[in-house]
Amino acid sequence: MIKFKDRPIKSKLTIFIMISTFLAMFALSSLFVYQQYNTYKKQLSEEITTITKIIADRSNAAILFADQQTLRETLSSLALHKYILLGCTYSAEGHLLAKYLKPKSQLACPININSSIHSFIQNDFQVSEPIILDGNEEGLVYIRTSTEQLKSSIKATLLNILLLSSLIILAALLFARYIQRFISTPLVQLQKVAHKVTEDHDFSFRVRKKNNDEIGELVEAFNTMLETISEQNKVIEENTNNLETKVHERTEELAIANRELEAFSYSVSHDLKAPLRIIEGFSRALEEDYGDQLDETAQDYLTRVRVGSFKMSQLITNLLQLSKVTRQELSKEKIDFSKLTNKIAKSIIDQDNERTTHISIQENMTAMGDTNLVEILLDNLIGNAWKYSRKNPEARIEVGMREHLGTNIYYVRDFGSGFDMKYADQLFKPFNRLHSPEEFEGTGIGLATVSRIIERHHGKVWAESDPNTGTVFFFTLFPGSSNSSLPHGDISQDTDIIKFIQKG
Amino acid sequence: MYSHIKKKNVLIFVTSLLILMQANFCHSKSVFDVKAAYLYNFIKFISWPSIESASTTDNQINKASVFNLCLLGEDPSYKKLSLLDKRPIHGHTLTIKSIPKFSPSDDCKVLYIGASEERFLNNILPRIHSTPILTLSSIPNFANLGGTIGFITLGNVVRFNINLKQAEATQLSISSKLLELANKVVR
Repeated sequence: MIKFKDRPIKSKLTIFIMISTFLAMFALSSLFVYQQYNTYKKQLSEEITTITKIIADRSNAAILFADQQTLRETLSSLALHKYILLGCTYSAEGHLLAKYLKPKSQLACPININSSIHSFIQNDFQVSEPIILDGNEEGLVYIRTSTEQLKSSIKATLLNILLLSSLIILAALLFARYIQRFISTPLVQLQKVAHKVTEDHDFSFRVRKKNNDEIGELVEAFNTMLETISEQNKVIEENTNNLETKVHERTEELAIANRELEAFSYSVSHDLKAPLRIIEGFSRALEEDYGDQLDETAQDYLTRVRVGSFKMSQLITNLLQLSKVTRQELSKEKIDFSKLTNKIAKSIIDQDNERTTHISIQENMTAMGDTNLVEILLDNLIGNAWKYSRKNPEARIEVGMREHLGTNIYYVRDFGSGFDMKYADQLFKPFNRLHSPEEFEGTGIGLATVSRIIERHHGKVWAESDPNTGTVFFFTLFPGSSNSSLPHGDISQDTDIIKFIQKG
Repeated sequence: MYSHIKKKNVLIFVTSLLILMQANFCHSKSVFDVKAAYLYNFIKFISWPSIESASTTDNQINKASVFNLCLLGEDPSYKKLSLLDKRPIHGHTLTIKSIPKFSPSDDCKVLYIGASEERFLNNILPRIHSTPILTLSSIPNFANLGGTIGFITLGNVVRFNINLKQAEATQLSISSKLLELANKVVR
């Protein structure tokens, strides 16, 4: 059973109309029946009184001449009335002179009766009227009638009312149906459209307005609301499109600018090399050919010129490399990562035989990427690791790979001088250095190159470091899914990499 | 009430004959009593052309005017009929007039023909002709002989015959109620 308040408006309206109709009909019918009853009662009383008066009038002569036969005959005309049960004629002295009794009824004429009775007795009505002649009371006529007449009249009235009520209630039901057109039907339609809009997110639906009442206004407001929403949607869509176009344009412009800048830096670097070679070549020639003629101070100056030009050459080489890394066409191939790492490790160890260096490389590592670029990448990272392990009695470097959420994460770890993590965001910018050149030499371009290579491989590079325990560089190459989150976390002193990755 | 009268009646019967004779009211009704009552009642149901019907309802009007009831000759009922004297009727005063011989100048409204006049009936009735006079008598066959109303006695019950033809001839209008009650109506 649904609670009344949860019923649809349609049935609520119908119920309201029906209840009010029922109540109205009931009240009216009751009043009408009550009035009808009184009217019938009055009519009955008047009718029987008149009959009694007629009988009394018809009987005056007979009573004067003591003609009981005639009195009986007069009374017997009462048989014409269906409901009269008893008729009695009395002399002035109160003697019963004539009697009429309806067949099958068992009533006796009352004795000691007085004139002018008008009363209901049990289920009957009784009347008595004096027989008057020349102002003298010559006798009395008494009539008793059944009220069946009243009952049957009321019954007939009730039946009529019932019939009429049914018709009115039927009419009310039809009226309620008709009313629905103005109230609940538009509301239901409104609700349906609202539902549809919510489900389909299509704001092009409209509800048809039928009338100019409050519901009509509601429908109009609803339509206006939909209109506003769809217009705003359009504006938002346009803005989005514009924004995309703008972003696209800006990216294009930026790319052009970048390309120009790179071309410029390449040509500058390249063109700088020629005069540098001249400085280098002639300063060496000066040293070789005229070294013995120069005093100590001149020798020192010359050495400084040669160191400076060497540094500049290195810087130019690195700049060219960065430029090359950016400009070079990228090939995507399978790389034997372990083998490549081995090769680089060997060349680094060969550079300086004075320092003890342990480089442990995980076996059977592979990667996807451009071999040349990945080689430059590893060269930079392992070179860095080796460089910053200088203060340790022996350098220890680990290169490995772990899988995380379908993506290979490569790492290069050293146990040298780490850095403060608050400078981590400065790490990959060109010419930004976390250590002074006196402490560790370098051009400040290496990690920028690394970052550029990783970028071109759509990967990510990040570092975890501690000044006491060393640094770990992580990177990915062509990660499996672009949105997979990569492990980030604080590295603590005793954190093991394997553990860390698993922890992530 | 009636039983009370009966007891009283018995008491009177036992105690005094004289009182019995005088107390006509309480005496069981004789044929003459009945006839007197009937006569008085007849007048109520008959209207005379010369008497205004409007006055019938009000006894106070025309109290002085007389309504003559003439008693012709001798009849055993005259003693009782005389008691009707001075009674109000149709707004007039009923006046008993004993006349030895009928004369139109007596202004009789009702003429009771006594038993003694039976022989002169053929002589009296034609003289009335169309005069509005109600003729009454106990003479047998009176209504058939040309009288208006004739008393008859069936057993010990007094009834009456009405000669409607005579009533119409004398311009008397008799109520249908009275006609209904008549033993016989001569038309």
